[in-house]
Amino acid sequence: MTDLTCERVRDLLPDRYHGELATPLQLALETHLQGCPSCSEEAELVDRVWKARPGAPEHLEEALLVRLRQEAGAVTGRRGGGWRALFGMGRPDEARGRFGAPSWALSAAALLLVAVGTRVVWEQWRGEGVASGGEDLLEAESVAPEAWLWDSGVVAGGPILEGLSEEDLETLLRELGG
Amino acid sequence: MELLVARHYSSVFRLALRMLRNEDAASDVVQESFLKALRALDGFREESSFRTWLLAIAANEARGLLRRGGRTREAGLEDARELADGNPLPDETLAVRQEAKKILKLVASLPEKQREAVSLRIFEGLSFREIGRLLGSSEGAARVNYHHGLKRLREMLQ
Repeated sequence: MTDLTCERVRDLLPDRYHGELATPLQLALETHLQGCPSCSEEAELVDRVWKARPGAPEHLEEALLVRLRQEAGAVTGRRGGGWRALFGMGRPDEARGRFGAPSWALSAAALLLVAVGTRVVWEQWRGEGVASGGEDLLEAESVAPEAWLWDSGVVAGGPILEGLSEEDLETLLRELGG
Repeated sequence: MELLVARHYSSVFRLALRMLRNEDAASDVVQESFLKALRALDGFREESSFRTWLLAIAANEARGLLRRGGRTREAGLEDARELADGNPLPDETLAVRQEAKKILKLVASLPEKQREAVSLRIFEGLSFREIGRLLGSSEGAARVNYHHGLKRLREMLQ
């Protein structure tokens, strides 16, 4: 490493106390200080200021941790399950799910996949209806289409989404994705 | 979370105390700053270091408190040292503590921008760019304030 200028050395002096200097730079700096009285004097002054650095009262740090834990607990509680969390209708500052996607997007994606999955089941069922007879098929078509949109879980394979946490929704997405 | 507090609590407290010169107010600012940081963590864009971001929140909190006029007892960094030194280390002599108090009083007597540049550079290890960002000035101005501050300290100590 080339020799450091006095200006550069004086800029770098505080970094000696914060572990910010790469070893070669630290060595170059110490070498410079050994050969430069005025920079050495400045280093001494910086050292005096550094040693005077006050800490912060420990009891206040403890009180802060207690308060932060309370806050963190309150935030986790608000992000729990229920239909509001499902449709991302919680607090405005809780818009995001674990993977950074908005809650409403996750919920919508889950609903879409369930709809697709249910449609597949319906198609298969419909296929069996054709084999058994035309009248059966017509009857099935007239009854089934509305049910899967507003189902309360009675459609085969259609899970009840209400009350699912985000983690459950993500698991569901993975399972539906195959 | 405990790690973040352990790592940054003292820095935030020192900055708040320098700005407010009141330990109760400084404690309030520290609490509010960490709470705000916790709530706004999603919005942290990592354009600056976490510490700089947290200190910026604290500086805003302190300015807000000053604007609202909330102050009681005057205190300075030298008092902070006494607060923190409730249980002094065995090898820290009276002379060492008195020297520290003297230095801190001199730092506190510097003009504001010089005081902040010296404190943030030496105590917190912030770069001149980070100091400039925090104080709303340029990197160059932060460097100048730091060196002028040190020069004044040297003159006062002679």
